Amino acid sequence: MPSIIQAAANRGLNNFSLLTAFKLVPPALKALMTDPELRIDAFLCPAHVSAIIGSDAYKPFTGPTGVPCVVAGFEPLDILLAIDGILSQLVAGKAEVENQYSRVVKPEGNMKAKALMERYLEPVDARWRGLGLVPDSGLGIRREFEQFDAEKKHGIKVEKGREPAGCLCGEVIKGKIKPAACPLFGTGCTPDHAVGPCMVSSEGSCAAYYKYSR
Amino acid sequence: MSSEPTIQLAHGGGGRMSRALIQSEIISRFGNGPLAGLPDAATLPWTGKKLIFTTDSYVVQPLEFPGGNIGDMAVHGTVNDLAVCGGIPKWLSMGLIIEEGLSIPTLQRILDSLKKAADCCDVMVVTGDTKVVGRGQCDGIFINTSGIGEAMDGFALSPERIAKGDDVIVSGNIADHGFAVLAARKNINIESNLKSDTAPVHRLVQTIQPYAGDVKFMRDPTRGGLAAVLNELVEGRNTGIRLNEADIPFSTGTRALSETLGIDPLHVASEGRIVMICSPRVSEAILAKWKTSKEGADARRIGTVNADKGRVTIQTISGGLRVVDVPRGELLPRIC
Repeated sequence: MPSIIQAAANRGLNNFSLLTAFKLVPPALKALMTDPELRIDAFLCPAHVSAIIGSDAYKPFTGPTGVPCVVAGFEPLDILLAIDGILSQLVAGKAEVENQYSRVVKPEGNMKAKALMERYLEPVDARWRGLGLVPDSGLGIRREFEQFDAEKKHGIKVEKGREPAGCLCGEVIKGKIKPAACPLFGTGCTPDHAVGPCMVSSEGSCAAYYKYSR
Repeated sequence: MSSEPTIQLAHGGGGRMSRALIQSEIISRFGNGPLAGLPDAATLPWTGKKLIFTTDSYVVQPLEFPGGNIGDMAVHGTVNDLAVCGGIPKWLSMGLIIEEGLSIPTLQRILDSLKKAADCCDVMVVTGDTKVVGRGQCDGIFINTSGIGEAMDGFALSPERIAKGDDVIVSGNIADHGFAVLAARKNINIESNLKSDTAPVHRLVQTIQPYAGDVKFMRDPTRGGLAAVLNELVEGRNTGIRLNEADIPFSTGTRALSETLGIDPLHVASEGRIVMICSPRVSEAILAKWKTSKEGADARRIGTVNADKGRVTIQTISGGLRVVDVPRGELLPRIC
């Protein structure tokens, strides 16, 4: 199955372009590991991202100066198994990659998908909530295919996002503070009237804390 | 361009094309009762004590899905609302709002299903209305059915009667309808053999009439699923509900779709199920009665009423205790 960019190129389309906002997980992990204010003990690695990039992608974060990295699925038992894996490693003083979602994730990932990414996309700098600008942490369309890049084609400038006043989602996401420490938690920011993303999603830390705090 | 005949604006105009449509599609199917002669209102004989009355509108997309279509849903949904209030369903009204351009064969299939469902439920469509709106002003067809039923003796259904120690029972697999409709939507692109559970439940209610006095509450868990019904029941009260995840019946298709899409099946609609709160005195007898019928074959006791004020919680299969929240936002729009 060809990429959509290839399909458009093959047909010589000139009325098709993509506005992309791809993010790469490993550079973000590196930014977290090198943040002097954070003390990472281990990473619970994402499921579907790992299905593409492979569990081997986390090897750079393991070893003598690294931490345990365990890939987990979505179900409660998946998470519990992965946490069990992390704890066992910590007790044994190990820092290795462990794949607890092996029913979907392979060490090398999805080779076809990775080849497509390599062919049509290239690393670009990207902004992250809580981390700011992280070099080469995003993917943009390769110059060779820039006629399909909406930003270049239409001169689109995506403005830097501004955090709503008082919102501390960036600190919560990095694990620097617990949700209740945010001044908006439960007052100006609730699941029905969310200010930041941590409260919007049912998977968000603040939404979970809110649900179980009452 | 399809060569199928389609509904035109003139079909709703009140003129010749309107009358022809009514004759060929409505009278042909429903003309054997008060509808014959097309009076403006149906005159119906009434000797019962209390009358139970309900209405519901159906806007499901897609119009046809595995296990049913908007036609039989429009009968089952309204019949079920009467049944869970302790009523014997008797008569339905049928209001159709049709979009210009709807294929007539599609309309015919929908009305055939509606007729078949009404016959299976022993209810008669006694009055109705047909309108046509311009392209884009509704989505294929919207149907409203209002229903009249006769109150059965013995039922005194009220959330006030619910007490600590009461049992929570469901009549079968939960959430099949919502997931079947979702899987049928073209942009989801999932293959599954999941079928909607749309079905009437009035016979289930009638078989347990001997125990009516001990039944505190019944509902069919449609939009918002079990979570919505149970949370509404305990909100602001001194009681709560504890469910046992291992006991809640789900079909394999629902389990698989729920895990794949990350959608909580407790938030997803069923269209042919009853959730009941009853005294533990009668639970075994009710379950035994239900399990002898096709509609209730998978009936199960799934939880109890406790003193956890205003909360619905669930003992999970992984050994934890979770809060079952009211679903927020439009999880699965246009599901019924």
